[in-house]
Amino acid sequence: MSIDGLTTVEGIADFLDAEIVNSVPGELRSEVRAAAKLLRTSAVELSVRYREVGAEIDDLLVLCAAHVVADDASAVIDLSARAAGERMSLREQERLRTDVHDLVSRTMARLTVSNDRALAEFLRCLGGHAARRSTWQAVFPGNPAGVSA
Amino acid sequence: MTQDLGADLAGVLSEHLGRPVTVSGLKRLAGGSSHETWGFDAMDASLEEIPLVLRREFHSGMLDTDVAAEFILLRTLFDAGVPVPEPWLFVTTDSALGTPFMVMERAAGTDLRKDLARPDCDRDLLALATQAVEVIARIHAVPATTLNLDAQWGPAHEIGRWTAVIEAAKPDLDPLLATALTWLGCHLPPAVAAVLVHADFKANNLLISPEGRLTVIDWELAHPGDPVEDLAWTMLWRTQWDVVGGLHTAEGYVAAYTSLTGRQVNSEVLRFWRVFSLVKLWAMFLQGMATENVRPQLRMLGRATVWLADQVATELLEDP
Repeated sequence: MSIDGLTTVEGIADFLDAEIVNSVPGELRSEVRAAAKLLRTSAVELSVRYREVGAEIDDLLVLCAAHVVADDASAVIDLSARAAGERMSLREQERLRTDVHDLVSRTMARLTVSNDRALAEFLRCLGGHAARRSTWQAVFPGNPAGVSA
Repeated sequence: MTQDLGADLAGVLSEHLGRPVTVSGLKRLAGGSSHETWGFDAMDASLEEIPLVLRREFHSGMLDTDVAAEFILLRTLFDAGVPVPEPWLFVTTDSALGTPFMVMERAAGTDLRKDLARPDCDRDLLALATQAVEVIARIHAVPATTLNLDAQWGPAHEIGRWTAVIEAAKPDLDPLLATALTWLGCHLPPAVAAVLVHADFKANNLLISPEGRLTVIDWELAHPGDPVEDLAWTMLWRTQWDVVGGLHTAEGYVAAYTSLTGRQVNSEVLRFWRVFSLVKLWAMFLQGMATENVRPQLRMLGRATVWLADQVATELLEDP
């Protein structure tokens, strides 16, 4: 028996499915089912999130270092320093990811009209990240819960 | 609340029909992203139960759409022989129900996706495949200019419409979504003659009767536009219970449509609308997440944007 957070989340999902779904009014049943699926996919995400997001940030900073314009060079240095710093909380890491994404968006906007090959590198990188995250959702194929929109 | 709604509805129907009407079996239905949808049975002195649907606007829906426009559209389509539920009445304000609402026929059957997913489903899939293409072709044959819909239309207008939805949701803008919006602006397809576009033509929005006849529901996004927009949107859903993936292959769907309508589907135009469809669905999911007190189903859709991101990257990599 485990009392860790992920096991707890999955246990609550099981409880919702087994005992709550059929005891709520019909119009709420699909909401309770969705709540259980959300808990399950959140558990999948949380079990790997720190490692995956850290790797995503590293991937993107490498690409940015190779393709940003001079105005953004210091941003790459600052963000890389944050990424290499002390171990972050999940929320701090998410803030860093958001900041890296802002830089990536600026860079891709410029590349969209100037450099097809470099843009393709970003597309492949971000597409790969999204594909790995597909198990964190339960709507489209490639998900653990296997339901549809 | 259900009891009050039933009494209010009976009062409104009695007033409009000029005879006493009772309401029973009121039940909130799933589906529809910007309105409450309720099924109920109405009964008058003839004691004949009439299955009906109530759609009324509410304030925290995913999209700001207009029940009045939907009612007028349904009336026109019904009269033109397009398989849609017969609209009964529409009330703007000054009714006991509070917000604008419409009442329409509740078509028999279940949604096509659920029907095809039944373990004992023995439908004639070939006939259904043909019928699905006939239905979308018939919709596209309706002259859009006769429908009193938004006069502004076209790819740029549609991009602007969904960009506004994204901006209103105030998300941390994903680089892939931002890039897709830029790409769309740089790859606008040539102008075409406007047809009526359903804009949400998929298996969930097709009711199938026990006899196998399809009825098209959920017209809230309909607008004048390029018919290829509808084809691309339908192709987003590709499980064995969908129009594409279940009844047709992607290529077969386009070929059947071309064969029936005589319209050639340019691959670059189709690609533009595929990317647009991904952006539009992404916008819808973000809008759902931006509502107050986000319920689990909307939250689940919001998390599915990672799948859309993967698809956007794949599409744009074809030719960045």
